[in-house]
Amino acid sequence: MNRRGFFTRLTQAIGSLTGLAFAAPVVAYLFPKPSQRGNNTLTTLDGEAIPAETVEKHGARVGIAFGEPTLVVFSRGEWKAFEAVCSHLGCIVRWQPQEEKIVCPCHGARFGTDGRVVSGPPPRPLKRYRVEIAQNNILLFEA
Amino acid sequence: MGKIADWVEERVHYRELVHSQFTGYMVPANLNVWYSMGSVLLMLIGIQFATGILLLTHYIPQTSHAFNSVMDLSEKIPFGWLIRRIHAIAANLFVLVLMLHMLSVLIMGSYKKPRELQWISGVVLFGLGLFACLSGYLLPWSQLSYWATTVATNSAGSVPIIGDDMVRWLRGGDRVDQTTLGRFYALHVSVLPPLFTFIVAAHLFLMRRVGISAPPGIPKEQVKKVPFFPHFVLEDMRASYFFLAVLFVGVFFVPQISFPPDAMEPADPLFTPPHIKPEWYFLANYQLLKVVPNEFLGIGLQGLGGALLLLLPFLDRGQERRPLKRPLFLAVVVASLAGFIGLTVWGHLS
Ligand code: HEM
Ligand code: FES
Repeated sequence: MNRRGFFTRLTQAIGSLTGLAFAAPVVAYLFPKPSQRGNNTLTTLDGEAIPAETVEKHGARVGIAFGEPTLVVFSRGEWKAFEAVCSHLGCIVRWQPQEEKIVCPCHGARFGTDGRVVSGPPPRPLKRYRVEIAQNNILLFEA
Repeated sequence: MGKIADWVEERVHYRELVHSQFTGYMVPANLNVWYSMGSVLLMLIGIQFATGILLLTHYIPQTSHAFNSVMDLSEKIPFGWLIRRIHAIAANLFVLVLMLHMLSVLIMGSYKKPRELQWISGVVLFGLGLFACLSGYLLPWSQLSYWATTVATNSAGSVPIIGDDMVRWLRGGDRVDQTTLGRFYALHVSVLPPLFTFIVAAHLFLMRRVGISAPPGIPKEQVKKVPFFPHFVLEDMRASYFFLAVLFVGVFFVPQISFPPDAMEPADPLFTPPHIKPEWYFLANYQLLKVVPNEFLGIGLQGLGGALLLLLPFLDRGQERRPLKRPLFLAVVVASLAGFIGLTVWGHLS
């Protein structure tokens, strides 16, 4: 390698290494936030616990549990809870009391009370939780 | 005035440049109206930059304030509503004219050698245009923008293996939230605009460097030439004023194209309103994903379409540019266009 060739390589090497050194923290900075597992109490978006009696009165409510939107249903004296994010494209499902089904407003999917897909495009069932009521709080547990 | 011009001329010799680039730059006299779409796009980018900067003076990129900031802007600031409507409707028009521009290049075969790089830079600009719309759409933080962005970013999840990671990278987390707004805001106001400027400059530089094409048919050498300024600039202005008129009809008579009722409600991450759909330019892709039973196949078809479009000049290397002498190609273009329009209408109705 002659002198000019060596200098060319050297300039390129210094340039690329500097670029890499700057790129690494940028990638780390933009890295997606880790999922927050969050608490198992059903809360509003602002983190206030949702009293069990308000859900008993309305039959259903979407709140946050484990850091994710979660649907809690009170029907025929029984508590049920499901992840509220539709497994199709992420819309929030709701409880349809007349049909006793969970429906998605986006592409009309329907899920049964066991979380399974009854009709529509979602590829996976909704995850279910076990519900316990303690001091008017709604507590959820992995089923 | 004249004295100042002479003073500057003596130092920088700009008149020679003006002559070589405008008054003495000769273009084929038979350039048709499709050749004016580029100027229309330049005008629309100018409008987006000007209105965007004005919106920026009041917009607050924070989930708790964003919606109120754009509402205040439209209701309390003099002509705020006008600036906002122009920015939103011109964005739609921008995508439409991008499509027209690409279509005319396809039909006239102007992407062929030696203009491959111009075609590629154009396809990149088209992608950036769609990305500018996607990122801008979230900023008002309305029910419409929140849920349309949720659904649109979720579609990336159907890419095999890396899909879920792509969704998380786009959003900066599991769900659309403050992190997403921060990213989209930075992209929309400070990454995409300079990128646009740079790639548009490259696109125009290439056009001058390689030379503008003439419509297919008569060889370029045999066509009469006219000066770019003022002859062709007048043609460009005619097309630009036509689209300005379209813009103003949109802004004053059908603003609901961009502002349906869901755009007037602040985002609620726990309640999805019914009938959420992406904007019209994403509807065809969206509908395709919905009707193709296999997710991989749906996203694969789209990836293939994009790749074919990007690499077109290397796949179709024939010299012939006249559309009627390329019946197979023309048939593919017409069929794709019909497919696109069909899927869009279907997506709209379903
Ligand atoms: C080709 C370029 C651009 C396109 C296609 C575009 C597109 C859009 C779209 C579709 C929206 C949503 C409008 C709404 O629903 O209200 C938007 C909002 C916004 N854009 Fe742009 N934009 C462009 C350039 C810019 C530039 C250069 C800036 C500033 C530097 C800017 C600043 C903003 C701001 C602050 C908003 C939020 C205000 C609002 O929603 O009314 N945009 N943009
Ligand atoms: S998002 Fe629920 S059915 Fe499509």
